[in-house]
Amino acid sequence: MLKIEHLTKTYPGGKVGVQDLTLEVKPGEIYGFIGHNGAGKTTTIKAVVGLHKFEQGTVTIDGVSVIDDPLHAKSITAYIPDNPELYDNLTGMQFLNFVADIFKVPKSERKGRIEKYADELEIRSALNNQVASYSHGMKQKLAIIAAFIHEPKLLVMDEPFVGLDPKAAFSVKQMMREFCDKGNAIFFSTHVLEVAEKLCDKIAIIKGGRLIASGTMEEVKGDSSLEEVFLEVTEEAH
Amino acid sequence: MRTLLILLRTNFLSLVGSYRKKGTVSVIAATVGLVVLGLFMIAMFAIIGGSTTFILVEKDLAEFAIFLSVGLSLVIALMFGVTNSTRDARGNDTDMLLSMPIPKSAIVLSKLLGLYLLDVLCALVMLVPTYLIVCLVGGHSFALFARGMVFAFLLPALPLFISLLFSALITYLKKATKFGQIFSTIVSMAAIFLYMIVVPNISSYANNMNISHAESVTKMKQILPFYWMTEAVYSGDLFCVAMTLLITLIPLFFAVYIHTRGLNGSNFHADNSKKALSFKSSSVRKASIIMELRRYFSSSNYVMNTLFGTLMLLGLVIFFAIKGTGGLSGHFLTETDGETVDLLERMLPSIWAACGAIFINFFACMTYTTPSSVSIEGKRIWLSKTLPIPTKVILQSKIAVSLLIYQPVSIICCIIISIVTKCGILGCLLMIILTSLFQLLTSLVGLIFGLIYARLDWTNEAQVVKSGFAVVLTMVICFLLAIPFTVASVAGIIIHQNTLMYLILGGEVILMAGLCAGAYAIITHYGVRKYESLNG
Repeated sequence: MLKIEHLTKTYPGGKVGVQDLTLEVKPGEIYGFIGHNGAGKTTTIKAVVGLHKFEQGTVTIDGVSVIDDPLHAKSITAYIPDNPELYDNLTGMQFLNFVADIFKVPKSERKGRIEKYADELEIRSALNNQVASYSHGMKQKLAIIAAFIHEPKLLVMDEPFVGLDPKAAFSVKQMMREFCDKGNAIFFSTHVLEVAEKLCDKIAIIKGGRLIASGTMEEVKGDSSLEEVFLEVTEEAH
Repeated sequence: MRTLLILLRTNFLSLVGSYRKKGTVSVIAATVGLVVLGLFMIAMFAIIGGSTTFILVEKDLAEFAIFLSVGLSLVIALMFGVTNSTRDARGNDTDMLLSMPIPKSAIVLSKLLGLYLLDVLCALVMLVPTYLIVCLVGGHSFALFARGMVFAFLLPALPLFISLLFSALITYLKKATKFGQIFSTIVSMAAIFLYMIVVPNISSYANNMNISHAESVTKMKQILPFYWMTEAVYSGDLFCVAMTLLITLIPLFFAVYIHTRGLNGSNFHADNSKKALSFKSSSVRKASIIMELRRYFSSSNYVMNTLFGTLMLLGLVIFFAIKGTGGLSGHFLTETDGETVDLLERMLPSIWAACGAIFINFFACMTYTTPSSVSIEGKRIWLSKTLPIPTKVILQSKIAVSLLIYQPVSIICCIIISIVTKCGILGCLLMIILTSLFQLLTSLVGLIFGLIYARLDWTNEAQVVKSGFAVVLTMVICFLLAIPFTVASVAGIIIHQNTLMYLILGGEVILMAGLCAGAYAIITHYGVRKYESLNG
């Protein structure tokens, strides 16, 4: 579903964000992406969703190149940033209608989906309020509903659980699993290793812009805990 | 004091840092634009202040000249202050600053310093020529000049106080009622109208004034605060100095105190949980335009900065329709071969069309939304960049909103002017085409500058809506673009031949269409690439 090959991104000024990164997320997989702060997780994610241009490598989503056909790639992808800056002066509903319009979700379908996800995340009563009045967690929930509203094939999430209350975090994990069981895929970054360990089918560890370990959960951690392996491999790579 | 200095330094570093990112060429071009505009403003204020003073000093009314200049500088400062007071004092950084051990007054003062310096600059530009003429032509001592310079730094405190009071009132009304936005718009417009009435007419007021010194003192005493300020400068009278200090510093401290009290971490939010959800659907293009329109109307800064020209145009055209062309007679007299001729009698349909177009285009130069439409996206730009909307459609929707705000009013005004001036269908059509093309051109130019000088890291939207490089440069360039068309029209008026005038207007249409096509090509090629390279 998502294929990243030899991705290299250097920022203006020379700082290397990601170097020669290759990984593949197959349909039905939840793929976790972990690493220290500044390791290159967000850079990779932003390159995948078309926010960052990169000078080397290829990124394809369901066979569609994000460079050659960005609109097609974006139309089958959804992105949830770590700190969702939304339009403060719109109501939650206006924002969801905007996203649904852009993804051409028919009126009949959007109603059912919005109500379903809004109920699951317990935000329905706030949808007519302005986004400016939302807490960080509520904005995160709104961004999650907006991501699911058009039934993408690939969901890219940057620290999706930050700010969510325990019940919402549980609901989101369930939604993620259901989403992938339908043959879609999720690529997400997290610092919460326990979540990654329980939720992910595959995992990749990045450090200094380079991939230092990847594979199924068993391949990467074996009998140890993910925390132990993470600390070990990131120390070794140092 | 230490905290305030730290805040000021941080604001300054943040400002410098935001410009450093843009590259040397962009910064130099923008600086040149700002300098040109600044020099124009300085020259305009200095000429108004200087000429008024000169007339009055010649009539031995030096004291009254200072009184008028002080009053004028206060009106200008009030105009800047009140229009700025309509903006939300809270920035994105307010919550962070409030969580730190910083006195609220230091936060308020650090945010006010920019406005205060602008007011001081205006006061100096207006007052320095006045003091120089009073001293050099009127033969007064340079002690007056020295006193005047000291008070020039103090006088802006009074308009700043009034602005802060308005700001506090508007903040309260926005929280407590639905009318805060309307009130803030009315107050801003009233301030600008006051400025537009007082400033251009001050010289003719001075010219027509035939009063004795004693009568001028009586007149001045009718507005006591201005009189105290004038006397503090003119004679250094201790009572007036004390009163000037009282009426400037105490209210300022009071206003800062009120503002400080109002600065807190909580915002007012309505509860709409019981309202039914609406699931309206639209096409991609329509959704993009609706989003742009919502963003426009949800920002009081954005609306204030652009809608004013549209409303003023409509108001003036309605006034013109009521008065008719007869209302203009006697205002355009000229001497030809020793005879006084009213230019209105020489007006042909084509000339009316040209004049109408120039008049409407003048307002178009201050009514565009595109220069700040990119920067206003700020950190939310990730949304439009990750959604499957062609970049071209995003940019087109920004142009569409700019046209939607001004174009309908502009067309209505063209039709009204055509009917009142009886310039015929051809004249009306040419006026509509010329004004439409010019509005399109200003929107396109604005968008190009908006893309070049995009600033996504703002902490308060006023930074990009009111004082962004793109906004200022667009205004300068649009006025410059309007000059050749105005010159061509004036040439036609002098030649005074209907057919030739229509040909000139036709030529203007072709030239303007060419410029629009060129600007649009820049946007669809360079603009699209530039937008795609932006990161919030």
